[in-house]
Amino acid sequence: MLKYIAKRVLWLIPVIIGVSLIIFTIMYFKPGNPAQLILGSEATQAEIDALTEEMGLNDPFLVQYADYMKGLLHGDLGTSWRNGNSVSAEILSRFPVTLELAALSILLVCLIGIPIGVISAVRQYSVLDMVSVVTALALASMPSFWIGLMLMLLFSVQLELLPPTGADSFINFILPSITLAAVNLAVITRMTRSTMLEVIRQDYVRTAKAKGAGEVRIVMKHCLKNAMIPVLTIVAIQFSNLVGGAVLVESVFAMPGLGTLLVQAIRSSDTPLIMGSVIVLASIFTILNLVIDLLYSVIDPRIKAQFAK
Amino acid sequence: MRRKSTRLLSLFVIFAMVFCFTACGKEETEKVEMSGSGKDSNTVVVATSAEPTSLDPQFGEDTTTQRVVMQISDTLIGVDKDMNYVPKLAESWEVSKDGKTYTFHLREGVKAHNGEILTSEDVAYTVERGKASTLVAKAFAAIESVECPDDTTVIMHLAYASPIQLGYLSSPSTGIVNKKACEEMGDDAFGRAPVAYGPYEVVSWDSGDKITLKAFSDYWGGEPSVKNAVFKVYTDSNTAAIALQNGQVDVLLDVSTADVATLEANDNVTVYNGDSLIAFHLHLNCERTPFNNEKVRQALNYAIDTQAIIDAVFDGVGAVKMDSFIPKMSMSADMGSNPYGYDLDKAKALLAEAGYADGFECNILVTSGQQEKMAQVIQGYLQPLGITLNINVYEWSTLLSIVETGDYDMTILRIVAMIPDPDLSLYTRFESSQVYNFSKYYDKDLDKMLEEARICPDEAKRTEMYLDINQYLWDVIPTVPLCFTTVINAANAELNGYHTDPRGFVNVCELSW
Repeated sequence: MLKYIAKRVLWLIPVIIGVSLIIFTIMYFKPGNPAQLILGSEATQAEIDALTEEMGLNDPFLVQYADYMKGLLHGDLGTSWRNGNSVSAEILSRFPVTLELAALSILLVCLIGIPIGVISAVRQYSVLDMVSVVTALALASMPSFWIGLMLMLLFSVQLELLPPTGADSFINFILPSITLAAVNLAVITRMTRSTMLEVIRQDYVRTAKAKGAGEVRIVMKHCLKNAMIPVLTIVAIQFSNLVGGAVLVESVFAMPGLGTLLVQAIRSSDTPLIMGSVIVLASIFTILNLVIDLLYSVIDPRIKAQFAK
Repeated sequence: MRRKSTRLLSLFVIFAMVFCFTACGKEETEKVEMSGSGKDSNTVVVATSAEPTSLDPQFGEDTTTQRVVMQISDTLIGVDKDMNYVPKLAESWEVSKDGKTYTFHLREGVKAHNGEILTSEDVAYTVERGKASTLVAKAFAAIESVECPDDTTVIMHLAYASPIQLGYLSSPSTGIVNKKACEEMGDDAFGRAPVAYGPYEVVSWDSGDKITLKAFSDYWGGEPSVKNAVFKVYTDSNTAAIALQNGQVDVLLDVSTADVATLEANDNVTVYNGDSLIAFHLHLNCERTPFNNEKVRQALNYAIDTQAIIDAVFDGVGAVKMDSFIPKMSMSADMGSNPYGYDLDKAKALLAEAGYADGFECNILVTSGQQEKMAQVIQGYLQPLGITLNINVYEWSTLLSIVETGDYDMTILRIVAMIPDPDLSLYTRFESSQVYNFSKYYDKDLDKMLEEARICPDEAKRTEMYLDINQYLWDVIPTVPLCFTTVINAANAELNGYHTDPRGFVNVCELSW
């Protein structure tokens, strides 16, 4: 088992190299001069040339890339071109907010989506099934920033129950997580529903029913774990997406998260910051996949047996 | 089986604990409370649309950075409401007849945030530092050397007469820094919490979130009335407007024109609308047919109704017509008015005279959003002339590289003057060698006029020169001047002492509840 984990962790290295090479190449060939962007529209050619030279942008591609990777080997993600702060410090400072937001959102999605999916499957074609499917799809069709603004207007401006913006304490995370959960609910609900339907049709479930087992026991003990495996995969993917991709919601609720950082970096062509953020996100995704794979073995003894061999 | 479920349970518990720790950890760091500051008469929360890159005065030459820097670092000279120069760290000053020697007499006993007294050494150090910085070098470029005959006298020797130098010395990028602290802290740490001579000092900077300042009790101008100032980043203007109405924010600096009506209707909020130093030009590529023909350019000026653009793109409140190439606040003189104006018949006549009675096809490069909307309005106004305008939307850096190749007919570019000096609204757009001369207008006579006006030490003569340049530009008309934007700010109605600043700044030490 440990060998397996070690092998998977080592996979991080080719992932990071691949990701960094791709992003670096894109940034290198992207039109535009980062130095010019930093200096603004009232700069003279002399100023632009001076800063371009200072930033090392005139060096050939491989030299710039090698410099970056050298730093990476020492754990140094470089310094941001926009404000000279260390990239790792910038990313780390955004972590608490982003992680909390993503975790809370995923928690809500699972707590609401999975039970509803299960019930929809068990009571297929019932009123609850239809209503939940339609609601989930409706929510998924609405833009996240719109849902966020509407929630803010209702709960913060009109009812004055919750703070509209900021990331100071737990209360501030309620509205944004509800917003993110609403948009991501549909996938989990539908996925749970369809896998549960598949599992319910299995022979062993029919056997259990014939044996006289109660419905709740059948669902919880026999069906749920089997249905969860594909759902867990989707949950992991959604969590990774939320960590880096909750830009719109972060912007609407004025929360300093990783998504906003990445978009700002792209706007200013801030290569070190983009590279650092993407590498961190790719690493999170890889490690998360590993965790989920390990969780599979917890849930499904057949998978666990493979490791025992 | 029981082991598996306990394992799952323990995983969940760990997850929940980590979650709670991160949530609690954040709460403890909140010392300066941000709850609706109307109830807290010691704090003013300012909403700004972007975060400064650094708080080091010699590191930031954009409005966002300077907004915060000006609270922390005082300059030698200040400006009043009408953009006239007033004493700040310098009690008085003299400029030599040839404009190449500036003598400043510093105020006595000015304390820095670390208790050190301001001396001419600090000023000399700041100048040296500024000249070495790639970002703000131009603010110090004219200064060749600095002499410090005694602790309170600073003599600056300029390499050439540069009347704009006084303007630069009033800009936050020339904010004086304390030499001792800067050398001790090193540039990086200094950029996060500079030690200077302004009314506020930095308490904390939560990256991407907010910057917290507190009043400096030994400020030379007396401790400010507002004890705490928080600059919070709100990238979404709707959210910021809601926060202002809620009392979570006290001053909103970048009010979107769409929010103006709502805010004006709100009794808790006062909306301020003032002149700015920002202009939008429709640049016509004068190196290409038909725009190399002056008559065609004139025709376009008659064909486009700029008021329509102001109404459609700026909701009628965010911009005003341009009656000169120089913003009102940059020069106190009667600059006349726009000799063109919306006149479709004249436009058609001129176009026919130039030989394009049936119009032509051309393209325009714009960025998405505001510029795209402007292009659409322009497209509509060019249609009756038979001119088909193709709108090409690009991301900014791509647009810049296309402009470099010269393969375009028109583009829209705004010009932001950071200081109320006419040169900053003209030089970088109309001088031949400039990167941002998007009209590709190369005129040796105009170049000469611009260069001479730049270094003319006699103020009255200088004003005359700029009036001539303004008139000349109306004659050769390399662009279609579209509009001057306005500075729209909104503040809590109970806040006293607020007024707009054409540079987009707010002076927190002037405010009180």
